[in-house]
Amino acid sequence: MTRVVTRPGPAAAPGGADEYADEYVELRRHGLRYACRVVGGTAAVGDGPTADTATTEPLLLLGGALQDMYSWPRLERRIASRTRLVLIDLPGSGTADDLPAEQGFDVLAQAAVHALDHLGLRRVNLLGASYGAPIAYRIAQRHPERVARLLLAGAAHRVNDPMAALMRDTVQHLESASAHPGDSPAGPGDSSAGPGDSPADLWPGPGDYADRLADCLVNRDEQHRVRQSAAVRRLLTRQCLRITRREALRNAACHRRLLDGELLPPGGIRGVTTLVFTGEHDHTTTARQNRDVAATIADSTLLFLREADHMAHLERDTEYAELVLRFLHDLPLDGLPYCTPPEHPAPGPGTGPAPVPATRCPAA
Amino acid sequence: MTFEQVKDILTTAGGLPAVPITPEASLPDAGVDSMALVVLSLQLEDRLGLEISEDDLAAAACVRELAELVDRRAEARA
Repeated sequence: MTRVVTRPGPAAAPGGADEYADEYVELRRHGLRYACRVVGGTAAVGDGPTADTATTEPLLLLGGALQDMYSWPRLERRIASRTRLVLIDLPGSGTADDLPAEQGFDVLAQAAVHALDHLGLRRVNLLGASYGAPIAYRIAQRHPERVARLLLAGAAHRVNDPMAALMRDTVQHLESASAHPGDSPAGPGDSSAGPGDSPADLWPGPGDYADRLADCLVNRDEQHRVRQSAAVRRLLTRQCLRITRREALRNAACHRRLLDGELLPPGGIRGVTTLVFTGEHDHTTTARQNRDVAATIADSTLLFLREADHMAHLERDTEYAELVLRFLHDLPLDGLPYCTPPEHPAPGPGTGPAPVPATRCPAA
Repeated sequence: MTFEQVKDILTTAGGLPAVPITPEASLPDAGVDSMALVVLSLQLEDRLGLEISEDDLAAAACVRELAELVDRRAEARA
């Protein structure tokens, strides 16, 4: 089923010329229900006439673990006037059915490709951010002919020690507190809140979890060098404190997936022009970790957004969007004042991920 | 606080485009997202010493009502 609404663009007065379409598309694969939005352009999905008015291929955005298809309004507004943007609630996120923890990134990548098939999109640009990066990586590796350009934002071969410790604690606590340890969060489509849904019912100290998560995602040591650091930290903390039991259990499933060994399959990527980037002060996926990922991709560029960390899409949203748009339009990335100079890590024989240092995470 | 002052915070500190921010625009139509509300709340605290939660700010029907809310809270404190 597809529903279409029209929304004002980023710089448009209501009713103005920059209004764009926002289509909601329901999806189903192997009994799991999920959904996506196609935003931008003037109409419909597929490689049809509206593609001619776009300035690059549509962009499929695969976001982070705590996000859904409404979590990127700022990038959405800035991209939608240039090309269509596909935002998706893959199984286990947003409005979608739950996905058992034992179903990993391969299943999520297959679900994303199924969405492209359903939309009739033969070739897209692909942005995988954080938790979305291992999904995007798999799609580009296995279906390079379908990916015009790949962007990986905050990518790593494996979760670093402080985040892994937080995730293990979270999973252990939630599953020990659950009536059915190891079960998926809820039955399909059961999103209702009920007894036991409040953060106080989930955690002995919900603020502790929120603080620890914020410490792992926002670089407190460099907060004076990171734009909007205080606001992003507060936003994350508020979201954590409002988490429902179902959402918490979903997060635990995400955590299990992330803790399950290597995030990226071996073999690298060939034949897809790729940009790997994150904030220069990212301590969730460090510069070294992102560089290691870029070194597995034959045609990759690596750079870092200045005055930002892992949450760069919120801290420097304007520059983040400009960088994405420049890459999507094959414009030079040299000399951008908000980025470090581009690097081109060369993949070599036997190149693999380096050991991950134990990045300090103050409250973890 | 005037509408223009609220708009100034949302554009300069909140990073929102100016054009959609009109007095009668709803918060979604004005581009006011959860991040912008956090920034606005922090700025009101820093500039005016006013503590207004994001939930209270989000309840405003339009940008003009945001400014009126700030005024009411400032008067109540005085």
